[in-house]
Order: sequence, then structure tokens, then C-alpha cells
Amino acid sequence: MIYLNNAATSWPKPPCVAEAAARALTERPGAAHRGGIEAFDVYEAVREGVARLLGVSEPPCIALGANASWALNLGIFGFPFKDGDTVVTTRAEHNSVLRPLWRLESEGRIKTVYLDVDASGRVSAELWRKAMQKYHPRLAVFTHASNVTGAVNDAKALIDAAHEAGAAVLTDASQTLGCLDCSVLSSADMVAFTGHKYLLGPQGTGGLYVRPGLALLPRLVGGTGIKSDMDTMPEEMPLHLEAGTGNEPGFHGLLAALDWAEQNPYEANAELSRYERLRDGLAEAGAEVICPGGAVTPVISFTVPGMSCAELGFMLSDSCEIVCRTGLHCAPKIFACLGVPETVRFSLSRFTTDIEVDFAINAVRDCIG
Amino acid sequence: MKYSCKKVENCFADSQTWEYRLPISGEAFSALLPKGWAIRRNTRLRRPVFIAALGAFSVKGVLDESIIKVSFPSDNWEKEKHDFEEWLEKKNVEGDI
Repeated sequence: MIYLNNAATSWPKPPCVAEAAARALTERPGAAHRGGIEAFDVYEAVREGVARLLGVSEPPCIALGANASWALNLGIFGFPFKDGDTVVTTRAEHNSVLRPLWRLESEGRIKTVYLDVDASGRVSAELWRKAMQKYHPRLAVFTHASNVTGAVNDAKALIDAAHEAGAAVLTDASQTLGCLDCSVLSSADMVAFTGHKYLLGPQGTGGLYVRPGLALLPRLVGGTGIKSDMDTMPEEMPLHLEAGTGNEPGFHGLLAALDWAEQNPYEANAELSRYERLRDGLAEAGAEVICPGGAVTPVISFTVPGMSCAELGFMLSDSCEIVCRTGLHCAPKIFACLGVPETVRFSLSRFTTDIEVDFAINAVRDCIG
Repeated sequence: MKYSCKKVENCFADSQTWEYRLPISGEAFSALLPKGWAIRRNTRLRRPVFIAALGAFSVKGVLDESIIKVSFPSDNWEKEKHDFEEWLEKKNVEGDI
């Protein structure tokens, strides 16, 4: 079996991740937020690790939760909109952005403007800047990289243009944190991330960075373990946005993954070499590969003329035992911009080998015939 | 012929794809399909497959496996599924699933 579905969930994980999660399940649970000089707070340690990756200096401003969908829901539903506000976003967004925005729009609370992306899945910084000047949105939302094509957006230009127009910025770093330098996102007002993709952590871990001074309305309220005599959620971060008992074993796993990644830095050149080998090999085999220029994540989307993605996906999975993804990849609006109705997606990880890449190329060649 | 079936989901809300476990191989099943079905085989693959289509109705499977994937046309899928299962039941094929 060859696993090429890392843009959904990375696999395998470094062995220390499972060991740490298992140890957390057998050891006495911690008491988050209660502090004390001898207490080890796994959440605090994860916040510090993620803050280093994001280049932000306020770890408590990172609320931890289940995944990026949790974080994006929190960022969008908790944002202090006034009725009639405009949100500008892109057609490359995942449903975890599109569906919260759609709900707010269907309730008549906001108007959403969807900007086209180019045929590689990247939003033009110029188009974005013009939209900011035209619509003056309260909130601008964009994904750092397309989960369909791997195209990385010029985050600095997009954030700066939004800020110049007075908009707050929410960035989805699900596809980039752990495989790209994300310190460029430090000037965003909110950054959503997940632990189970390129951070190599367990499923069920993620979070939202919220810049100091931006007050979100918590949409999930409940126990915080401390300050229980208050009727409302405490105002200070991260307590303000973290109700209920967290996924402690999961975050022990994520912490182990963060520590492991610090000791084993991502080798961007090796990754790019495998990406290019796969991209060029698929094209040579007869696939129509979406090839973004510039910065990319290790994600390749392709189609084969005369063959449905369902058919190709069936052959790759059931016959060739390649785990990949076919269809819309939860980003349905991007396909009008790409000019195809759906794609097959291969997504690599740092553990993917050249042998696996060659196997995948040959498998596609054999499917095409 | 006995069978068991379970729905398979994908990205499309109106998709009607079901997996059937049969008492025979995909190869034997494809040989039972009546005239009119366009049947293609790909034997270059590690585990050879067949893909059969009749309009928007399609059946796919690995030739030496006993599970097939059946996609019914989305408009009228309930009748098509009923007819397909009735056709399966009428096939005089021995064997447990």
C-alpha cells in the first residue's frame, strides 16, 4: 500500500507521536490551566511550539481545539460582525470556510464576495488588492495554500492589502504549517491550523491564533476548570475560547511531533525534488497535471482525458493499492477556476520515497493504457 | 445469487454508489452481464479490473475479488437498484458470501 493522501491526514507519524499519546492515556491526567510551579501543562507547551512556527510572541493567544474546522468556525462565527458587513474570500477555500460564511450570509448577517483564483489555484495579489479597495470588507479570509493544487498564496501581500483597506484577516494554514515557513502569517489577525496534516500530529488536534486585542465571541461556552464562579467565559486567552476538557492524549502526541520536527527539520529541497519527479512523471504518462508555478506544497492534482476521476481513483485504490483522493477535496468552488469538474489528488509527505513516487507514476501509466 | 450491499459515499450528494459482496469473482460476474453492457478490462494493472457501463449505470470491480462497486443513475436510482438486485437474485449461482 502506498499512502499519498497526506493533504487530508498525514501518515505515517514519527513513532514518538503514538508513544506520547499512549503514555498520556495510561498516566494520571493533567489539570489544564491550574498552573503551579511543578505542573507540566501540555497545552501550554503546544502553544509555545506553534507560536514559534507562526513567529508570534504570545502563546496564550493560541486557542487549542479539535481541528482547523473548529478553529475556522470559531474565527468566523465569533468575529464581531455588524449586520450588513462584507467578507471577501477566494474560490479556493475549503468547506470549513465556505459553509460558515454561507450560513452567516443565509441569515442575512453578511455579504460574501468570492474572488476567482487562477488556473493553478492561486489568488492574484492584484485582484485581491482591488477587491479590498472596492468592497472594504470587515473580514478577509484566505487559505495560505490550496488543498487542491498546492499553490501557495502570497500571504504577505494579501494580508497587507487587507489591512490597508481596514479589514481583519483570517488565514487558513491547514495545508502549510509544518511544511512551509509560516512566520509570514504572524501579521494576520487570526490563523487557523490543524495538527494532523504536515505537523504530523494526531487527528483531533488543531487551533486558532487570535492577535491580542481582537475579541472573539466564544461560540462554545462551558467549563474551564478555573474561575468557575463566573457566569461567563473568562476574558483572558486562551480560556476565553476553550470550553470543556481538551484532547490531552492528542496534544501530547502533537507536542511529540513538534519536538520531533524541531530535531528533524523539513527538507524542502528533497521534498521539492520528489514533487517535481511526480509532477513530470505523471505528465509524461499522459495525465493533465495542474502545475502551479512558484511556491507549492507537496500536492498534485491531475485528470486523465477520457477517463472519469472516479474510474481512475477506483483503479488506483482498488487495483494498485494507492491511497489517494478523488473528487472535490471539500473545496467545491475552485473547480470552475481550474476548468475541470474534479481531480485526482496525490499528496506527499516527508516520508514518501522516490520508489513510491515511481510506483505511482507507473500505476497511472498502466491505468491510462 | 446471494449478496450483501452497503452504500459508498463520495463528494457528490446525489451519488448513488453501492458496494456488493458476491459469492463469485468480478470476472465471473462480468461474464453474466447481459448484452448491451460495454465491458472493458484492464489487465496491465497489478490486480486486473473490469469496468462495465450501460448509459449512466456502471459497475466496477477487481477481476479476482468478490466485491463490485455499482453506480446507479441519480434520477431513478431506487428503481434501478431494485431491478439490479432482482436480477442478481434470479441468477442461479451457488455459494455463500
